[in-house]
Amino acid sequence: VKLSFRAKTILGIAAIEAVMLLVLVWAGLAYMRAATEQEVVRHAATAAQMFAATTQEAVLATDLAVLDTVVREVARNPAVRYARVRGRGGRVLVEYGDAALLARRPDVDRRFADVRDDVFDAAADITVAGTSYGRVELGISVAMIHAALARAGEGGTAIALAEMLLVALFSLALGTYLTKQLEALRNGARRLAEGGLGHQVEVRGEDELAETARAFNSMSARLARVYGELRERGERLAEAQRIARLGHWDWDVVQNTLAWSDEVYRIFGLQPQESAASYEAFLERVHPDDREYVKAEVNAALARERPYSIDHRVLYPDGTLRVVHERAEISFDAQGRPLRMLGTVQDVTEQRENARALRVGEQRLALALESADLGLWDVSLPSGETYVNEQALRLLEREGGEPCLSVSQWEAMLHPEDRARVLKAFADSIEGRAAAFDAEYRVRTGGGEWKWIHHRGRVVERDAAGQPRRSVGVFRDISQYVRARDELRRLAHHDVLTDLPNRTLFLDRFAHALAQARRNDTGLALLFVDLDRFKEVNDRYGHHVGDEVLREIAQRLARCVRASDTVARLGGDEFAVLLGELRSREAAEAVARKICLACLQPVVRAGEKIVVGASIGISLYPADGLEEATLIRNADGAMYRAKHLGRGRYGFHDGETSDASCGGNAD
Amino acid sequence: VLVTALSPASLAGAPPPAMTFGVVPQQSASRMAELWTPLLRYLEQVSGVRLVFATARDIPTFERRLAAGEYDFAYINPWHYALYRGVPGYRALARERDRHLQGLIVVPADSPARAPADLAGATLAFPGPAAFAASVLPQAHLRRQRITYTARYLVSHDSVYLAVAKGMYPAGGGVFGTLQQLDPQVRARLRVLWTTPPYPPHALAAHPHVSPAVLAKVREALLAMDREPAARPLLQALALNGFAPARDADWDDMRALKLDEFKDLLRGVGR
Repeated sequence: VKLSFRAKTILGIAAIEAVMLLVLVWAGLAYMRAATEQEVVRHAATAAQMFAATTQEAVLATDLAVLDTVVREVARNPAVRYARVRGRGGRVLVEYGDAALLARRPDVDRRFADVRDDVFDAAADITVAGTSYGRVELGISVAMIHAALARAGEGGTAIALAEMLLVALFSLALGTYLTKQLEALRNGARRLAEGGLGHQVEVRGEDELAETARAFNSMSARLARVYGELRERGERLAEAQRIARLGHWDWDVVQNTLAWSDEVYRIFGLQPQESAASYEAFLERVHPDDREYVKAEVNAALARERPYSIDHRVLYPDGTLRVVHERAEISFDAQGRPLRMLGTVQDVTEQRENARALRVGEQRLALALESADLGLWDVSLPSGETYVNEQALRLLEREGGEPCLSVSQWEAMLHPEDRARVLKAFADSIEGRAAAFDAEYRVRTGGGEWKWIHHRGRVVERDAAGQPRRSVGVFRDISQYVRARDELRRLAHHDVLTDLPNRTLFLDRFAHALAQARRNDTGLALLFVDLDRFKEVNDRYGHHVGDEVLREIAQRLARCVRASDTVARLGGDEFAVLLGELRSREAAEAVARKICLACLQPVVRAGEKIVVGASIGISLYPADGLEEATLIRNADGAMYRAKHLGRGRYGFHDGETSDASCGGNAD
Repeated sequence: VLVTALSPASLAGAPPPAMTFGVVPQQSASRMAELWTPLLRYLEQVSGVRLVFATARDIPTFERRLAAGEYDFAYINPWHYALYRGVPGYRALARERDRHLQGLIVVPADSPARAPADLAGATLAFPGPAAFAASVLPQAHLRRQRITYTARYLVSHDSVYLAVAKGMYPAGGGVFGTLQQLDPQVRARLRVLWTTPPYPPHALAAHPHVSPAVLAKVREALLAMDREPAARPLLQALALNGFAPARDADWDDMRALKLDEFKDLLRGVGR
């Protein structure tokens, strides 16, 4: 039965009220009846005893006249239906009242329940000193009790009915109020169900219904907000799929219904939702050459053999070829049968091409690095993460170690003489003072030896604030090159026979020393040493001995000067000595004399004492000239003059010429 | 109890038929029933004769019933017994032991009177017309001796004695019992002028139809009562000394007074 809330409320309350009132009235009447009946019983007993007491005297005196009067008087009472007095032996002395009641078999009612014919039969013995002299019997009508009870019942019923009416009216009012409020809520809920999210109902009062309405409003508002968010999220998802060229699909394997997101259509070269999605439609889009493969993979995934994650080609009707990547997850029922397949399809044409291009590039780079035997050192500066390639590890003899090299590890490898220079250059590069880092330096390899490396690198990535993020460099082993270069350099500046600096180096050092002298305002002496009679040695003993003599003389010259001074072979038997930081003319002269004497010492070769001598020309800076050319010319001139004056002499540009053997000027 | 008594089974049983024991109305029927019922119970137990108390509203009714022979046994006033000449012919079988009815006349101690005759023409005080020994017996004697007097009833014995002692009346009627209980000072101012002869008290009579065996049983029980401890309280309650054997002739002196000739005197005590 369909009942309104109001009807239910009214019916419910009325039913409860009716039952309760029924119980109340019934219980009240029962209590009243019990009390009244008890009262009747007690009253009857008292009346019988009083009757007995009243009649006792007459019974004892067998005074029937008095008894007759008394009993008739008693029987006249409307509540007394009959009255009877018996004498000794139960003999009826007097009786008055209802003939039918008097005629029936006498009985005594002890309890009210014993009542018959609406008459309570009470009796009392007339007893004196324990001996019965008679008995009185009274029939008391209980009809009026029934009448009283009936009246009470009617009164109770009337009150109950009035109360039920009041309750019904109240519940009607309450029900009306409730249904009115509920109706507003119901209408609100319908509006909500029809899509009117955010619909608000009117809130009246402060009771539970008002709270419910408030809760409804807050629910509605929240639904509207959440729905908006969901829609926005859905739009963002679609947007994200469009950007990522990634669509998703949902395949109900059992029903064979397939749903594609808009992006799937686009990826397959279709307009979104232009045609129904199905497995067959999907296969149709797959490149014919890939169809068997795709089907096999789908079946394998459904058979739980391997996950579904494949690349395949898609052929557009216009002939465009795209590569897509598909992934899916399958849910199975308890028996392992596939139920649903949820997957994504992503257009990876560009990625695949890029990846291939990258791979090729990487291969080329690796080949290049490998071929050039270049070590690669890649440092992420904020994190300190580093990467070194295999060549680098091999070069640094750190094979088997991790492919990394921290900056501090690198620093520790640096040669002490190179450290400051290299670190400064590195810091300049990192901090942007230099565009790149380019240095040759020595490192101690894992094997403990020093290797020269040429290291070039630069910061390849900086953050917005210009702070370096990543620095990449390559280096290679140049030890052999450095060694060859040093040798070449030495060869270019030294005399092969005597290993003394050659003319080139001499000129270089002379320019250098002269610049220093100028700067420091010190003196400088240039000595030209020309061996005497050396041609004769060559002619007489051969070039071989001549060379030995030259080497001997060269060593003697070197011994005559300080380490900071330069002795050079200018060619043939010509030598030049450069004395820097000269304090006096005498100091130069002393050296010249020493050289003269040293050259005069015989050279023993092949059992022969070979004696050569040397003529020395001296020019002094600044006294004899301020330029190189001047000083050389003056020294040369002084030397020729000394040779002219006789061998084994030395002479200054200013004319003083001395014989070394005699210790003074030859002149 | 009533139902049981009426049931055929109980009627067919051994209990002998009850004998009615009529007692002359002296007090209210209830008061008498209270006093007599225990005594009758006792007699029942001792004699084996069932006795049922009965009385009447008043003496005339009692007498009518007596005349009708309604009582098997009856306890009757002495003057009734003496005067009674009814058809049933009740015969006394016992009387109260050691009890006599004897009236007396007191005078002030200093009274010159020496004999009742000295009181001729005087106004005499008596307790009341119902006082048989103190009022009726002395007056009956005065009348027999033809001594004239005027009677004044002063309600109680003590009133009579006090009035006489104060000299308000030259003489008054009384009995020894009440005189002896009087204040000695009052009594000292009184002198007993004259006493009536002793007369027997109430008679316990039986209807002639009561069998001798039953009669014997009842009498035996009655006469033994004053010796039975159980019976003594019952006797005391009725102010009885016990019962002694009696013969009809014991009441001859009473008959000789011919009290029925002085009907005005007997109006107070019946008849």
